[in-house]
Amino acid sequence: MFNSHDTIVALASARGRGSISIIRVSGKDSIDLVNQCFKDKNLTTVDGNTIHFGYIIDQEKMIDQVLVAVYKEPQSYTGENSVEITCHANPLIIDNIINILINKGARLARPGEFTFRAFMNDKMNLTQAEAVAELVSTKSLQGVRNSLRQLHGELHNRLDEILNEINDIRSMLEAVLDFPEEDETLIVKEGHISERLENIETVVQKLSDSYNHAKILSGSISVTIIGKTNVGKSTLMNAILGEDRVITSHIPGTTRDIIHEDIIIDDIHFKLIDTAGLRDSFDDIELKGIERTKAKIEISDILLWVIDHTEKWPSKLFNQIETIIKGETNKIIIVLNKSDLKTNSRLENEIKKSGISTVHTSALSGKGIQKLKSTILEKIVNESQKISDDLIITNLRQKKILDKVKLHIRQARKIIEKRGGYEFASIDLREISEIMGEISGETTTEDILDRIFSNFCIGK
Amino acid sequence: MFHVKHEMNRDFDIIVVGGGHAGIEASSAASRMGLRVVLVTMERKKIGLMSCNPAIGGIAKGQLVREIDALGGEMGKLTDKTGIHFKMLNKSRGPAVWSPRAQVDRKYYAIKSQERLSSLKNLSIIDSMVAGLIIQSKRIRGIILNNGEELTGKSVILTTGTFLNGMIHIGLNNFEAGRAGEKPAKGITEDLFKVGIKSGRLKTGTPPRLYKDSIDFSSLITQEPDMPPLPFSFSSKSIDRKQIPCHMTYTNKKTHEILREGFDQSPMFTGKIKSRGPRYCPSIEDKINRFSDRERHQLFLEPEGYTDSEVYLNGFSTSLPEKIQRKAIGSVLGLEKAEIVRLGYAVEYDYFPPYQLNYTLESRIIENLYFAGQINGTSGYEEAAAQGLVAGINAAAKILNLKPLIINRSEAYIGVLVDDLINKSTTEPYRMFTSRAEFRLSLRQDNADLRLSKYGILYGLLNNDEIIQVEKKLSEIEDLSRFIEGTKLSVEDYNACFSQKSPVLRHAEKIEKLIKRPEINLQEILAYLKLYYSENIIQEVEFNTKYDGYVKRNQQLIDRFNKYEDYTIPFTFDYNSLESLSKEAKEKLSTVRPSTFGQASRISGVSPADITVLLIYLQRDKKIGNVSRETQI
Repeated sequence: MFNSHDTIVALASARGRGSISIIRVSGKDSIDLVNQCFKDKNLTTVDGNTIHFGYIIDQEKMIDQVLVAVYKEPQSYTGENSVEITCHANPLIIDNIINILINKGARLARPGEFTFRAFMNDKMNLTQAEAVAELVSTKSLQGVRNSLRQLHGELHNRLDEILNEINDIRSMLEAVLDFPEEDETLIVKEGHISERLENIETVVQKLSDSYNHAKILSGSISVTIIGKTNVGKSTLMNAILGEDRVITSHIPGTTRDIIHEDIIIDDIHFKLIDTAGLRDSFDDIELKGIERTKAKIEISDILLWVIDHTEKWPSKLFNQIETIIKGETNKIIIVLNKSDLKTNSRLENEIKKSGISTVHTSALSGKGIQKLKSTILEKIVNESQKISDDLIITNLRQKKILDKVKLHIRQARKIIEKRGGYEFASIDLREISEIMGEISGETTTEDILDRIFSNFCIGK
Repeated sequence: MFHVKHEMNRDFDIIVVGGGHAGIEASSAASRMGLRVVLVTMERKKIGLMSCNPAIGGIAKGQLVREIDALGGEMGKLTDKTGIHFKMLNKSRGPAVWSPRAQVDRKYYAIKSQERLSSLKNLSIIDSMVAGLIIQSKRIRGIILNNGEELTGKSVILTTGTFLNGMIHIGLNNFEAGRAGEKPAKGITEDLFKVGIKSGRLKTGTPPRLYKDSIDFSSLITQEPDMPPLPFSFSSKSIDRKQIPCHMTYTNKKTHEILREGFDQSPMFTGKIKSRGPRYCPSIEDKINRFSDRERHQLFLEPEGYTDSEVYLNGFSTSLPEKIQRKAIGSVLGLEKAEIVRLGYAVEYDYFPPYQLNYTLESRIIENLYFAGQINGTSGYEEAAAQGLVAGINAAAKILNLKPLIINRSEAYIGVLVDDLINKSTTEPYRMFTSRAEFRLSLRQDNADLRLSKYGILYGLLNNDEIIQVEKKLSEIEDLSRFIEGTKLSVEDYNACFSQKSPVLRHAEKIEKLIKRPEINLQEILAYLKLYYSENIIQEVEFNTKYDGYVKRNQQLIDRFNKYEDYTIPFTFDYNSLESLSKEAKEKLSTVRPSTFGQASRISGVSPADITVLLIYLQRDKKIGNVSRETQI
């Protein structure tokens, strides 16, 4: 529950030692509260949007030398009076200042509360509020751009367009029902409604699918390295990372647990995962970590399958992996490691037959690593290029609502195609209007709001 | 004319001003509830006279009539007594959008209305124009007749239709009139204005009436009525009167050309009429102007009675000059020699934006003063009658110290009508449509009695026979539902019954399951099993079974709706204290003062964003105890 009559305080910048930190205070009395522990100037008489130098004091005791920015309602992020205190980034100082303000009557802000207040004070709509959350957490430049677009209201507009079309279609159905004396064909042409519903369903589907691409932008694309024991998976991981991260040894099975690291290739953020080694198949359930490896394979966006150049084609393993990834073999990149050793033309022919992309590397010498990186990038970019210029949705809540919308559109279309009655199809379309309202926060219930805003980090 | 006899009573419980469809229902309901009622109208011979088309019902309007009937109203019964062409509209679609309609004998309908009102105990009728209202300290005390006499009453119900400062337009000519050939009423608007009630102007139109004998029916398309005709009233067993056809023809390019010639003399296009007319009932000039690509428009010729010499030309509402009207009609197939009895015209009149009313249709400004019908900005006999009924029942209930009758949107079209009026406050004449009723699947014409007779009984509006009948219907529905739930049809019986169609049945199946198949209907099974149930009962049971999924979803939506209807907002809630509300929302909410959150969400000008803000604040206030505990931890 949010209560915006009181004053809230929280650290707005990242926690930890650094040069400076920002503490944000918002609420009707925020300027007055800060003024009570501010030395050298009376903040209650200064103009809005001004910055002041001074000291935070606790009963005459000097706490820190600070800069305070004073904002007056409605010209602030939250739309209320607020103050931003820029102090030195020492957790002791920060905690001290926050405690002083709490003692004066402020309370610690709950996650997302500043943005919630901005929403409540009509500074932004719900998709924009969500964009703020994405903007802070996204891990790629593209992601930042997308969030900015959303903040700018583009998603809101797109949803409006969809809703408009739905309302348009519904109005046709209603016209036929409410004006039976009119010639129906003058209102709707045979097949016209189901065609329009099909089109709008595609639009919604595409937007919903874009959530998957959003993962790319938010940095949650996972690249998993798999392969038999001792083919050099960990060495490969280190080579990609460019540093010694994973403990390597020649003893098979050194990597018992899943290890992951973040890498950035061309602005795009990946999660690189190393897994425990496999044997000839997944049947050996005694092998430690095998279930976890399977789980990783299943959810990975890209599989780097390391095969030793001297090996035979592991057809059984290939079939099993293919099953796990539901036939999406274009996710796989075969890394023929240790290619500085002698070649194996039989193996290479087998791989060629399978049609899977292959990169030759020597993890030890670093040969082929650049090529591997660009292959990874190609796979992702090819996927996302389809939507690169398009707007995408970035959170699961939006996706779930769109999926519901899609379901209702489909249901309405089926009813119409089976001539089941416009009055029934109309119920589905009417419900869409209500559901769509939830995305933009226009007809949302408080319950949903609570959930959205609790996904924020404190102080944003 | 009005002659005051010395023994005549001048004090009543309820005074109804106006003898149209709203006035009839209001005075009848109040008198049946045992109150002393007087109906004041310019001329008693005009009570129940139809100013526009000679038809009752139609899409969504038919549902309203059935609901009025379920509450003991007059309109359905009068229609059954005078109908000459009954038709169930939308019959090719699902039962949820079926709407009954009937052409009636116009003169006979008025006579039967007058007979009915004369037969009611406690109801007097006075022929007089009303010149003013007696209002003292924000309360209505009575009315002043135009001869200066005063009548006093505990409540007054205004149902004056288009008569207040009525102004008729034909071409660029205009003159004061309530409707063709009748004087307008002056004084009432002025008195209401003085006490702070806002008024506006609306416009409506009517087509020319033609001499029946001058029409060449042989070249027209004939439209046959339903046989047998289905009665409007739940208490009518059958319609035995002779049924006659209607006819149809089309305008053509020539007609449109002629009409265009008159555009420069149209009071609408030249700006002479500034008030808004109904968009769903456009004049013929409006139709050809806005939809210039349409080469023809349909016209319906509706008989005004068995022997009446007039025919109503539906679809040709116009306020173009006389010459143009005559010439244009002459260009229509079958109307080449048609003579006009009465010209089409537009009429402008005063209305009182209904946001100034409570759910009972009582004024928020003047206590015990009720408004019903066209003066609330509606169009249509049925909409007027429904409001007359609501106002009559509530005026009586207040005097009798009964709870007000407030029907919500999920219960009836009447509920949708009143709710829309006071919250949306239309700026054009309001007409009912099925699409206005979000729960129309359950608001069907065939089950109006099941939905509303509980109120009819509660307020003493139904007679014993009617009560027994609805109770019987309920128990038969229960019987039949139980029967189809518990009875299986064997493969042999199934084949014997449906040998010709539908997929083969492999094993005995419950009737309930069988009728979910679209091609199988309950009537056939029952006929085969030689079980007799009336059509109404079969329809109710079959609908609920066949469309089970939708019926359930509809119910879920109703439950969700009711959750917000139960969520009350204190009358004194200070909307101005909510900084986050838009300026318009603050104004609208402060004016209407919605009693529930649900109502707040339907007020025009209050956006969904405003509603979210309101909801969050209201819920926060309720849960404030929890919040502080949380904060302490």
